[in-house]
Amino acid sequence: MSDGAQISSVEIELRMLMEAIFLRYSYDFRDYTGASQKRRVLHAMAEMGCATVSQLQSRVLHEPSAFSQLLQYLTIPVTEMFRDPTYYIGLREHVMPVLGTYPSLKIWVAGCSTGEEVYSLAILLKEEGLLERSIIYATDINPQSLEKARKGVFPLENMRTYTANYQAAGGRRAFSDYYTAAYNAALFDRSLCENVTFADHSLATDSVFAETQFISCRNVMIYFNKKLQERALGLFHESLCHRGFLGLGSKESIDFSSYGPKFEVLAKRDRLFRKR
Amino acid sequence: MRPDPSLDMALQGRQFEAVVIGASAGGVNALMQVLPALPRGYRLPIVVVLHVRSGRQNQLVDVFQQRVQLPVREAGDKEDVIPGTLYFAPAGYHLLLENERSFSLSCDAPLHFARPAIDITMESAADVYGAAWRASCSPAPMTTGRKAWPPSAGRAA
Repeated sequence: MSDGAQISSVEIELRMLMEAIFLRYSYDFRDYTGASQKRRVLHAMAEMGCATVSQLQSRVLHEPSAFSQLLQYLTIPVTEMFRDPTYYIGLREHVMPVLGTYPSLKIWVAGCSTGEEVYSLAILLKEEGLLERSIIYATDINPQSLEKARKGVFPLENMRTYTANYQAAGGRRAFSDYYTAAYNAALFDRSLCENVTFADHSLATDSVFAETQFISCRNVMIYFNKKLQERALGLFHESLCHRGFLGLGSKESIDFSSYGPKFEVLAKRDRLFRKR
Repeated sequence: MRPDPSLDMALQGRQFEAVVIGASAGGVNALMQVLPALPRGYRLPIVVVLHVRSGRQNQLVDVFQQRVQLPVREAGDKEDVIPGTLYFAPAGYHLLLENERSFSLSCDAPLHFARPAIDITMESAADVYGAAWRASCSPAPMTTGRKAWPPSAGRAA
């Protein structure tokens, strides 16, 4: 009896918009979850002065700059350094000791957004004495986010939260050792990202580019439907070396996936898994 | 608190698929009065979004499971919405309902300083269930611009 069984005009428009974006710009949002995506598009419409999704679609098709603008709304970066501090404690306990046995390391931060997690991991690796032999691939689909990540400049006002997170994550130094404060911004130590490669990569359309020992992909797959989650987990499984590690967001699960049985659970609460 | 009679009239002859309840920290006590009264075998899913500090959010499932006769769970990403189950939104995430009658989570920015935000869950529930849902806000109704009915239905207890 529900209205939901019938497809609404807005949903038709949303599907057509995502199809148009895919055909015109090769960005594939077609398998993102509907409800969040709808919110983001409605927000973009309001900000971009479009009365309907169709109007937005028309602008996106005819003005590449409108697409760049929409992309910022579709991939809203919301992240913080050392978010969920226990995740990093879990990494220190379960993952770093094993990573330390490899002569060289390749680590993939998938969906790195504006880079907060990349710098957090780099700090962790540095404190574990592993940063110099690590290559970190930090990938995202949003070029503006990647540019911000490359710069490593974050608002100074966030440092209080990040410092508390860092300490809760088992940080061993003064957090301020890692950045220089100036003009309301915190510029992170360039040596942290000497071995970081920031690159454009889509979990929806691209393939595996390296064999890695550890992949961290947190709060990215919650925006994917099950089909796209399956694709992403397939990429991770393929990229990880034998007995490689996978870290997910604190409410993410691999239980529904056919890849679920191919990983063992290392730390359930911290969503740390290891390839069988 | 006695239900508004106009609410009874509005409800008459309608079929419901889900109950969505939003409340601020004070709502915990109100829910403690309402939810334990539900009988075992109650057939609707109940989705609760509480604006409480995130430390307390993690305890809601345990606290309510001791008092409520229905299974109580934290709503998980991409999980089906199971009838007769009481769900709480997890700490630090927005909770949305999807057309497939499943949950999804989002880390989008807090709304009015809240994550989970009541409005976001309510709006997505309105999209999915249309008229076939009940919305309750306690103690104060939220303004969401959703297609909720009836506008006066802002009472949980």
